[in-house]
Amino acid sequence: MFGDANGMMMFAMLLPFLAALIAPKLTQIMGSKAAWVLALAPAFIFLHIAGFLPQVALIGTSPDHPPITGGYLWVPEFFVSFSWFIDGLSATFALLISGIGTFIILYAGGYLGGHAQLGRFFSFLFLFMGAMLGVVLADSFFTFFIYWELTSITSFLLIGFNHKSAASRRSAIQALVVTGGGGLALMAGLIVLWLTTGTNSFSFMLASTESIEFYNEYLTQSPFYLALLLLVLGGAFTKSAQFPFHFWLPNAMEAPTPVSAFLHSATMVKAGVYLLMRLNPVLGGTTEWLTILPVFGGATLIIGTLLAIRQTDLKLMLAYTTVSSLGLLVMLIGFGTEKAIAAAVLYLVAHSLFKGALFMVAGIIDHEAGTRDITKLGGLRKAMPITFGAALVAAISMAGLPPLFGFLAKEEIYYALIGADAWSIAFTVIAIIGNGLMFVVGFAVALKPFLGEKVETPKHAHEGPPLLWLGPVVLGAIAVLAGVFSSVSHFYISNPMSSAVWGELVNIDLSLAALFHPSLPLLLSAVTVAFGVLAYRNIDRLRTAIDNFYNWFFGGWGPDKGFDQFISGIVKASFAVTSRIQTGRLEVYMTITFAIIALSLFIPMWVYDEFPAMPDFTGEVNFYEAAIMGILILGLLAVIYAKDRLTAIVSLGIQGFAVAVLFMLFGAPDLSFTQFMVETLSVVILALVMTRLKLTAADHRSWRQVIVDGTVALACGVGFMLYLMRVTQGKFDPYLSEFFSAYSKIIANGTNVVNVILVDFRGTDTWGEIAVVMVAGLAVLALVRIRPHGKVVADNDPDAPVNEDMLAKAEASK
Amino acid sequence: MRTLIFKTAAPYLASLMILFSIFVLLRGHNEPGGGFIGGLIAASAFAIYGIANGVAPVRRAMHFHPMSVAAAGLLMSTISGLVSVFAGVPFMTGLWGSIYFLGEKIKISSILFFDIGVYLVVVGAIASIALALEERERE
Repeated sequence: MFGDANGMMMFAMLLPFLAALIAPKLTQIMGSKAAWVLALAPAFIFLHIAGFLPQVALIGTSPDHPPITGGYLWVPEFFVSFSWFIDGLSATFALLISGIGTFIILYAGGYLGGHAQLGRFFSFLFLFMGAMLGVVLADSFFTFFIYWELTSITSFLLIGFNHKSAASRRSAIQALVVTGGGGLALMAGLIVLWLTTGTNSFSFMLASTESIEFYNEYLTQSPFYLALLLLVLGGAFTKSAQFPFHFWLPNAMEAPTPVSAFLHSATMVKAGVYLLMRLNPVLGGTTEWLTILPVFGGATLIIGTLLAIRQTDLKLMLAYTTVSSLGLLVMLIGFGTEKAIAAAVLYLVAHSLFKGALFMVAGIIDHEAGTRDITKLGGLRKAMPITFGAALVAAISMAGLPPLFGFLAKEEIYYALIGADAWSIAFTVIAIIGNGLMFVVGFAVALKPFLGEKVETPKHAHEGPPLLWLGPVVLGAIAVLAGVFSSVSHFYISNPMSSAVWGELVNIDLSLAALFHPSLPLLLSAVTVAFGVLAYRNIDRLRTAIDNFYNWFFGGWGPDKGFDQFISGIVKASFAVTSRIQTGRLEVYMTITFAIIALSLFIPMWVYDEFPAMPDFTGEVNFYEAAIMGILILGLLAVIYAKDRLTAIVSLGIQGFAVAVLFMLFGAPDLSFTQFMVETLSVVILALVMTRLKLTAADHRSWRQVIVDGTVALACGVGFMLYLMRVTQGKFDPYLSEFFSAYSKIIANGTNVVNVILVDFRGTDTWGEIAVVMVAGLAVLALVRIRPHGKVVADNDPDAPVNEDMLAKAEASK
Repeated sequence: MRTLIFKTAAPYLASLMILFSIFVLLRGHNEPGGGFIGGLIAASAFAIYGIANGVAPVRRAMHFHPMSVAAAGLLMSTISGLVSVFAGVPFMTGLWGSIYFLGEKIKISSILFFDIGVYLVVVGAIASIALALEERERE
């Protein structure tokens, strides 16, 4: 199975799930050293995907180089396939996931070393990794959506990893509700997309420039375009934490730091961005796209950075800048120019590298010094030189300074945004403010804890083990190399990815040489740096100012609080509804059930005007038939006028027996037989229940109740009568009865057609029904055994030995 | 209800009913009857016996818990449905064979065992409900 290229890819996609399976056992045996073994899995995936890069780099250069696809048919009847699709976009994402994932696994081994639940943690991480790889590699909408939801679920598990902490649980649920709710919108959006285009495959839509043009025109002209766009954006904006759905992401920092570094900065939160990038060629370019995305993205960028400065917790500062970076990406995608897409691509790669590294640094500081509060940290550079170095490199990239990859990204952003119109100028200003403030936060995280005087920390700080610092160091090194050798990184990564997002070939030629050519973007970079330095020197003042403004403006209210109000509102509403509907009174349930039965009998007949014709009474009625009718009517009167319940129950039995006799007379012995037995048992069981429940012997109801119950009962009876009359007046299709009569003996060796149908022709139905009988029996048994006041029925216990004394006593008492 | 006549007659009545229920079960394929009806008859037999002579003797007579009887029946039906899968035909296909017993040719089929399973489920489930209801509370 894994021999061919298809099989290898399948294996690579399933490998994280296999790793998730063995991780707990392996961790049990090897402890935190298991990380070294487990990290081989993502490393293998990384190499496997990297093997596609030369091929990916050529995609679109000529018709001979289409995107790479493969896979297996799954449910061909419903056009569902397990297939994948590799182009520049998915290859880059897959490399980020597996590459950063490798170091995250190592880092997790160091960070949670000795933790009792480390195995479980690895398992969750691998589950997430497999899901995330699936998201970016999936070709079919169906598998894409399933993987998408799986990332939400694994994120829930990872945020709630410290499940004994109430804050963790709340954050986990919040993240699940927000991203899961968005997932529902996305599902609707994908279904609309599927029904509109008739295809559920990304690769089919994006196969060539011509097909992209066709689908883009087709979809943007479609009357469903706006609905489709809003639904897809609902999924993407919640996942990628766009304002006003950003609040779950900072709360997700309750998760252990490896999770924050991996899911909530480098990969999962970019799934929404991935989706927008993936659909940009076919959905983009419209006024709606070019308005909604930049506006929400820009708002998220500014709000995120302002809130980041307000924080003093290292992780929260980074989390808010992640929010703003995601905003920046969405804004760039929505800007809709070739340069903007290229800028988004460069920034996305740069961000994954530096933000993952910075989160890991924050984790190391927390791990080694015992606190993440920036005001309580300082002077750690001597104690943790390697960490300091890695942090510095990442911060330089985040600030967009040469020679890091982040510099190229920021230059490209300014190239993309510059323009003479008000729209461009506005977003350029937003970008400058956003970048400047991110500059501040980046250096605050990277410098504040390390420089200055040594501050006494809760733990005596020293350098962490290699497992911890390996990740940030390597990511930093990659950021430097990618910046210096930009022609290589552009050729293999940036260009193919930008081409995939843009829909046509894109060639990025920006390199560090831009540093020596005076240009407007370079000037804007200088302005950003100047603004950043100025803000950094006044960071404490800035923090207080934003804090005051925030408290004044919102007065303690925010989307986070709004979420709580929303949830408690739902709980209250459902409580109100439930307490009205679920009264706990059997009478109410029965009345509602039978009233609905009556309505569902009458309404269709009334709506479709299908009332039966008046039956023909001219036929001769035999004496014995009339007698049975007489018994039926007598039984009915006896039920209605019975003085006590027992009489009523028995009289009901008379009725049932009379019906059974009628069946017999009209040639249905099996039915009649069954009816006799069912009636007998009903009378016995009803009588037993009555004595059991200690009901009063007589049935006292208010006249109002009698009218209501009587009406419902009459309505049901008349409804069924009319319905049956209408059915028998219709044309009778004898196909089935002829078939069964003809073949009962030949095929099934039985002459009793009824029984042959039951046990042979429709045997599977019967099989299901006896399972229902069994379950119903168990349920009744459980109900009967429930006693108020904690009374126990001893001889109801099947395992108890038969107590001879008890028997004798029972005998004697009779 | 516990008159002397009823108490004395009930065991014989119940035995006869159970015998009859087996007869109904076995003739079901060609004449009116079958597992479901048979099961109902047997269940009423146990219910009557219980009303007349108390629950404990019924439980002793049944030996197994009625729910276990029902579960065994469900298992039996499932297996007799599955047998055909191993014989290479779709689930629930009837398989037929015949054996000679005391010189008589008797046709045996997986369908018969399926029907017996139905019988056991109905007996077990209904009898266990009836018996549970008949039981008196003990303070």
